[in-house]
Amino acid sequence: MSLVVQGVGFSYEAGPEVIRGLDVAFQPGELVGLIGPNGAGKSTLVGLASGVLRPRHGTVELDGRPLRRFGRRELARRLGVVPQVPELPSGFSARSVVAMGRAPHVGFFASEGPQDRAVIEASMRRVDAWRFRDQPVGSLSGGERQRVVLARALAQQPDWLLLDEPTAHLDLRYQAELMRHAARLAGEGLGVVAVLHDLNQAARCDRVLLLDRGRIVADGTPEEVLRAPLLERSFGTRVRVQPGDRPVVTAE
Amino acid sequence: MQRTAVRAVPAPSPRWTVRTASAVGLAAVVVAALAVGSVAITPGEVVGAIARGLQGRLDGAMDVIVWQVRVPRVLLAAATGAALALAGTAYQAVFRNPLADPYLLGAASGAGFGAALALVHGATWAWLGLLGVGGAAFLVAVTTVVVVVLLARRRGRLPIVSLILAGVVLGSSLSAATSFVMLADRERTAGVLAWLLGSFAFAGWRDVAILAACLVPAVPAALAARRAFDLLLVGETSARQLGLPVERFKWTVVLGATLLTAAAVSVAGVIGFVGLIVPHAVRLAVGPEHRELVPLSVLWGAAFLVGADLVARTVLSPAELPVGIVTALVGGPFFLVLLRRGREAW
Amino acid sequence: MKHARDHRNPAAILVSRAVAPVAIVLAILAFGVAFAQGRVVDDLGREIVLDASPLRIVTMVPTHTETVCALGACDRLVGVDSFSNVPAEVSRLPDLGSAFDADLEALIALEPDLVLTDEYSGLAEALVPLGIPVYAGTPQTVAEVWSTTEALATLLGLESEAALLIGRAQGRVEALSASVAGLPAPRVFVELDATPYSVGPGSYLGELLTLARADNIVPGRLGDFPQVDPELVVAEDPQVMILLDAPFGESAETVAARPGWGSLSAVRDGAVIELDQASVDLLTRAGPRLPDALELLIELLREVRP
Repeated sequence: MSLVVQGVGFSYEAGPEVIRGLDVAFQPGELVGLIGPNGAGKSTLVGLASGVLRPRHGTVELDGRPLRRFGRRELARRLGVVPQVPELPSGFSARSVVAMGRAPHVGFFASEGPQDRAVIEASMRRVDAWRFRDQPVGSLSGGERQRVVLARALAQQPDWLLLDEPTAHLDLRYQAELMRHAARLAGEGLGVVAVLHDLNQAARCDRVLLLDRGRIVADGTPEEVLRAPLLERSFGTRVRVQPGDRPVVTAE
Repeated sequence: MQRTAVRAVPAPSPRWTVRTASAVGLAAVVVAALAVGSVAITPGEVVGAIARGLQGRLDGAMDVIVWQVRVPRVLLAAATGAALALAGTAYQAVFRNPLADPYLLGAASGAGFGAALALVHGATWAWLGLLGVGGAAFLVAVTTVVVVVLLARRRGRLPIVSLILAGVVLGSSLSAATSFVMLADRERTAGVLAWLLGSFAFAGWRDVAILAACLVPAVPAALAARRAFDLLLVGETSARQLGLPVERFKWTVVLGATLLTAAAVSVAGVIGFVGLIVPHAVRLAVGPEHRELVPLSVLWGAAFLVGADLVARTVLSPAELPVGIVTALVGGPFFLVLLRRGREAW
Repeated sequence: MKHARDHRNPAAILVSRAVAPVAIVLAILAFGVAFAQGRVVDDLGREIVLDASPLRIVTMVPTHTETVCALGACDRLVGVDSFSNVPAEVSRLPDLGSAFDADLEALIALEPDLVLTDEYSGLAEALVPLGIPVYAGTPQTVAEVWSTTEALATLLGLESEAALLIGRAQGRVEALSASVAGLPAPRVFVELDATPYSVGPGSYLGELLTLARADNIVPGRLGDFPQVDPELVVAEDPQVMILLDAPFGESAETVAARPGWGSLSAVRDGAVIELDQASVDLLTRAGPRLPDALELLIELLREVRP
């Protein structure tokens, strides 16, 4: 099993290329942190890897098969996405939102079976969202909503999980909690790729990719990538890195 | 992923209570509408006339009134209400816009233009005469929406904003064209105006049959697609990532809702407000999930229009109010009350 | 009646040129032909065939009410529309609303054996499937007044009454026209509403104006019921203005207050005629009171004729 990006270039409409000649391969069981300055192309890479954006050049392949050859439903059974700013219809109950994750399995015209209901419950319990299952999502806090969306992606029972800045709107406790969830899922064999704004969250990953102007400029363990010279060049600011198993990065 | 034992669902769930109550409510309004008319007919006679009508042997003027006038009128109001509310639900889901109604893409202005052409020029242009007012309205309505969709299309996709803009602009142009056609022949203006306001006054079995033929496939299809409608509410990108072929689904829904709207308009004229407020009212009452929204919109839409028509034909009897005025006057305040008291809908 | 019985128009015109007694004889002869044909086709192109002479008639436009009563069959009416008010006795009959929003239930409950209505409202299309005989058509010209009268008379079995009625009416029209022959023709503007809508020479009222020896300032190319450019009115400077919208509040003052209209000859000379509702009805209902309408017009113009 692999998710492979090969020689991919991409631009929006007639704009400049935001991803250029990018090559990267993701492995199952790995938690990958995607970091880089604003405009580096992190979210675009998530769009390309999830098949909602089509590369101008190159291919994205899942198990050796180009994404565009997958049907939407087939792809959604393999690959779950937690968007940066999830749009949630506020009158829906948390459970109904998670149930949407079953759509690629059930189909759009059939009803949930007992198996589906079991998966929904398990997914919600996983991220501790089951207790507010009947509450309308509009009444939930940012952290609770984020967990609902994560549960929805889990309900897809995917092999791959793409998280686009999942901790952006969360306070400290939930940031840590979400990263623990992500790490646990990777430990269970899922391939998890997370766009991370906070470099210290990236320190918890198995592997870190530093993206700058549409290219990968560093790829390795947190210790290898979270180094002052590399970060300073990409982010354009002085940083101090406290080295170690989990490096701590602060801007000067 | 660990398995969790499935719990048995406890007996009568609240959603079935609401559905049953809605169905009973619709039945009650229909019975009231069948019982009341400008000619006093006892309930017994009404039942007898319907029985004889079903057997195809009408006996006397009372039977004709019940079976040929009142029953088709009530059924057509119900079918029109159901069709418009369903189309409104579909449009609101596709456009994710609370102001979307079945006429958003120009179906009403198109139908109005077709009807005006047929009413004014039907006698001179043979093909128009052949189509009849309803046929011309239906044809021009569908053509209008197809043109709007083609104008709004960008590289195989249907961006919502260009769709709405194209619909509004083409709709305004067609309304202007309708006014122009009406000016050309002042005598027939009253006929065109009466048609545009919408009425069930001269409803016949043929009209009921036409609309029923559209509803019979549309309602089950919409019920079946409830999950896809829900998915549209989380945004098109997320919907795609959850496996929905968004563009294809949008095309299908816009086409289906347009055919339904055009059919409703071609038999009943342009009746406003139903397609806009009924889905909202249901949403305020039971929430936005289409599992509830689709069936309840159909039931409530039918009941609302049957009730509105009942008011329209009794309040000023023997004169009639245009039913569109009643839907706005009665529906507006009712909706505002719901809006004040209801829960958050979107 | 545009398509229905146009073949009879030459005869009708011929009749109108003859002196009254001869006209009656000719009309009776003409009806012999109609009798032999026995066909009545309405403006929707449908042939109306009745099993028996109708005795329970509903009229849904005022002109048909007037025609039926003028033929002496007022007692056969069982229901009328809201606007029918001539002759006065019909106001005692059940009011069935207007043709556009007729009270179908009440209409059917009257069990009519003939409904006379218009061709635009859709009422005919609603009634025909119920097996109720319907005549749908309204006269739009002077010639159609005669042909519609004949058609209704044929349906009612009152052909000779119609011949007398038409003969007498055409005789009066002939005499009235003769009374104004050779008089100077004043330029006239007829206003239907303040938009302003007017009438072209091809319309019924336009034809009456011609018969009354008035010069309609609206040219025929604008159609029968055109909305006219106010500039045209100023340019043509009518000597007489007839306000059919006076019941809706228009008057000599409101007309004078319109931009550029204050100096029109008709305004300066006090020749702006404000009609009451009864007169408006008389002038706009193409029906058996056609000679009365013509007489009213000639009377109005006499006072202001230059």
